Amino acid sequence: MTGSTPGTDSSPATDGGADTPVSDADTPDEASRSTGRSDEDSRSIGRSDDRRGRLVRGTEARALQAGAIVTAALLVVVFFYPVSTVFVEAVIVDGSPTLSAFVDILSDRFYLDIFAFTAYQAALSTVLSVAIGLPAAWLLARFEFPGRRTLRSLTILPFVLPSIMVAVGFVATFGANGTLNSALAIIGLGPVELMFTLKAILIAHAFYNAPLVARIVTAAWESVDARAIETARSLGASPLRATLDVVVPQLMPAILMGSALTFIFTFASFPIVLALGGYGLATIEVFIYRQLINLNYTEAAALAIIELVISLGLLYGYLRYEDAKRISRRGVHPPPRRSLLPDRWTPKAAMTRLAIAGYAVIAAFVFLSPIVSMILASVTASDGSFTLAHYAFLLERQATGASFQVRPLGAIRNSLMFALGTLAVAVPMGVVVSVVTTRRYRGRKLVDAIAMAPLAVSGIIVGLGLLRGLVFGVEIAGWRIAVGGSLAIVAAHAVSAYPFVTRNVTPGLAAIDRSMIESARSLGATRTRTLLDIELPLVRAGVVAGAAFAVAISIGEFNSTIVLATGSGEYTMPVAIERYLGRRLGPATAMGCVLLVVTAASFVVVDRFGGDVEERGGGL
Amino acid sequence: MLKNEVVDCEIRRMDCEIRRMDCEIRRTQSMTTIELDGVSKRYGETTAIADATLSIADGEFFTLVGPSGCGKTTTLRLIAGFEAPTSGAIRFDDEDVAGVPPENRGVGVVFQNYALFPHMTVAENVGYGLQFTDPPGDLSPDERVQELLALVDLAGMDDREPDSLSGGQQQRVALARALAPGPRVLLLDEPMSALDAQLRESLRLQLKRIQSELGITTVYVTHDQEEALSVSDRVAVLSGGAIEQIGTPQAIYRRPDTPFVARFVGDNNVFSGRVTAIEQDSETATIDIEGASIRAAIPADRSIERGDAVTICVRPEYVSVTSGEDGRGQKSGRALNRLTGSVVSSEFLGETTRVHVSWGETELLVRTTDPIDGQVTLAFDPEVVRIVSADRQ
Repeated sequence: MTGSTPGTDSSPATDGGADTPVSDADTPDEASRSTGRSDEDSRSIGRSDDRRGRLVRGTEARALQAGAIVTAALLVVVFFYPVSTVFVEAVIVDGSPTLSAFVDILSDRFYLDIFAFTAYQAALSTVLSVAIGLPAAWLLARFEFPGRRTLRSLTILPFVLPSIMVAVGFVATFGANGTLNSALAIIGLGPVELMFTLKAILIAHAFYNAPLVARIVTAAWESVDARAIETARSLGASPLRATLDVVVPQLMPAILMGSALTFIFTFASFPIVLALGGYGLATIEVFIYRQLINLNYTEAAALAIIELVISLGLLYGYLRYEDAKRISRRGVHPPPRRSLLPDRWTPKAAMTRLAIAGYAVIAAFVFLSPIVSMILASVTASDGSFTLAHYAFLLERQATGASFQVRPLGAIRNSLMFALGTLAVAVPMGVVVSVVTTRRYRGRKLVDAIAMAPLAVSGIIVGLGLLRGLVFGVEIAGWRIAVGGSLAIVAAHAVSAYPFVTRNVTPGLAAIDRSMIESARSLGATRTRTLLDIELPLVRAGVVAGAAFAVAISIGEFNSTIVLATGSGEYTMPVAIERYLGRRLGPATAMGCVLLVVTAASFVVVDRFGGDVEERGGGL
Repeated sequence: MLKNEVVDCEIRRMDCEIRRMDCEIRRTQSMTTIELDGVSKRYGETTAIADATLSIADGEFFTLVGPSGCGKTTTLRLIAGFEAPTSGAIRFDDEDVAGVPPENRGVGVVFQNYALFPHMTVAENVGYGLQFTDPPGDLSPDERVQELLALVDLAGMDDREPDSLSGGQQQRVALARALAPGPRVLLLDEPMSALDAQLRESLRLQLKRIQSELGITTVYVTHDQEEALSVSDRVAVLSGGAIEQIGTPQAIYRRPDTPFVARFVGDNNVFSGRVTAIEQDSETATIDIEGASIRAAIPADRSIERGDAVTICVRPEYVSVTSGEDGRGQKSGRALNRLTGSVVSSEFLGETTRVHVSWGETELLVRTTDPIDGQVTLAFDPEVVRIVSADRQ
């Protein structure tokens, strides 16, 4: 009621630096100086009297600072430094600073067309994703049917599916001998040519982003209070009018959020456009990659900076909007769900169900066909008969003609090793960042923003920076420092994975009651000990979900890996898929299936422990 | 009445003395006094507590009471070491604890929401602090846990999950956990406010019993003045970040020093008026309130002059009520204050009845044993009229 309730008496404390002044003095020296009462007994202020105890205490007290410093150093070495070298490369040509690369790009009709196409396909992808996502949200929020919950949790699956795998699925669907044309041929239609068209790219983007839209809008729809609708009805509004006046305004922020995120994601789309766009269609990201393999580093870097500025601008605008429109969900009484099979078949009910059935067909095509096609293609020989040859190929140790330089078994082994490496680096990093960003101190928001920067920077840039900086070697004070390609790939994966660990852990950490931490401290636990004994066990589920995300992201990471693989010869499954894709579909689909199994396992873990990542963490 | 008080006080003091001696023998922890010397805490623009000075005796049950936002929780957190004061010093046994982190202060804290660790059993919760501090006496940690659980009547609950306990049980686990390492100081931050009234009362008694058994210096924070009066050795009333008054519950109740304390603690009638005359003995002032003259005893520590604007208060229970306007049947002889009014409303509370009597433009709250109605005469001794503020013109 009063006094100790947070937000009244103690609310100033919430903004004050509760931990800082105290833990600063947390050194053994200070503690012993101010508490040096060895007379009475050891339970007085100076509880830790023996030297060893103090030493342990000192180490414990510093463990967190040490973790933060190591994390920061690692971020500088494997992210900020490499990325900045890329940017420097764009503005320093032959030793002198110049903006000529930017001027060239921005005044070149060819590049402007690429920007225009990138924005155009992102806009169309957004429209299609919303068009497919909204009916799904309506179904999930307003109807009750068997499997609804499963379907709802499946909307998070695309987050962990590697995009190159999805691209393979769509190649298997849309390709000349793909399932779509085979199916059409059976009913005497077709063939349709979708490969290397904008339509294929848009559908693949919808596969990714429609579930995101559906997820965000479903959450908003479920939070619409039935009593508000009932009030509108009691005041004389028709059902339609009540929906328009009460429900729609509450859904708009969610729809806009879903759209904004979709636009941002598809604007920077790389593997899907690379695989499905052919040579004719290229986004900025694809073009950066092409410049890279042609060794036009300056131009690639300049393009990357322009893309980054646009992406960050979009992201900033979105975050501003999200801040203003935070959806609160407290004490909500959602309207009851309808059954999918109506009690009475009125014409209106029949029409609705017909529409739902129609939607189900479209959804099945978008979401199921790539997966099913990929699985089918992986067990189909060129003559159409069943075969396991493609899987057998994956186990081949020798480089054969078909695998070119990419050995399948090596790629699988690499992927798993890198995933383990990523796990070992990204989980501690993500947890440390969570801990650091949930503390209260001045400048926390800045630290938060800096720590989340890897989310905004394209993997291609990170890969390029690591390649040019660390793999090729840098000279510092006469010492040549170079790391192997494998290490660089793990570093790149860890950089793109740890924000997901952080996003899974932070909400839990932030929700822990401060008095619980203070209880532990008053009982004699140091700040670090409290973290280990109380806080981390309480957010264990978030850590597990974050770890699963980290594995899924490492296994599926394409953008930086392909850059690093090109330079270092260390391949992973996604890179192998891309290499096979242009030559033989069978091995690509077989490897895609392996990826599917691994990432689906991650999804099960995420779903079990994490769940509402983008709801709690704010949309990737 | 004053005489009674003195005797009361004397008995209490002896009581304390006996208990203290008792404790010397039984107690395992050292003596601990707490002293706040000009302590302030500011958060940017807002001042949570300003220039607080108080000292808490060893083994004392000291309560900080006040409305929300008065700074009582901040004061507790400063003592615990969760916050550092902006200025001023906090001393445990004359030793400055600035910079000593909470884990090294030897404080046991019980929070309003208990803050039990949900991933540990009851026994693990109680034993948590024993990882860092050896149990007092020659007990093993397990024995200490058992001892504490028995102390709070929760023996046999070792393996229960905190979430499976009732609110009162959780509260007692939190108390046991705070006491297990043998802290020098027990800090309680509104530990009862989440419980229902009946449970609160029984836990209050239990807490008081345990506290005096252990003789541990205790700081208790509450917004409930009744609770503060019932358990404390001494009470500090806080308002707006400042200490209004420190004293025994009796002193706080009977001799409030400020209008705020007069209004905040218990039922009271508080009026503003002007001094029209000082009697020759300089012990009684006549004060004009609402056109009536009220005689009030001048407190020894206040100098009052004619023309001063004063605030006075009279407790309802000190006012005697009789039916009718003439006050027939009333004891006479002393120079009592007499007022007439009519009953506006009355609330029957069982033991007593609270009666609102209109008097001029305002109302007076009185207590009677039997319901009463109509015209009444109110009478009260000048001795019970307390002057709580005086402003010279």
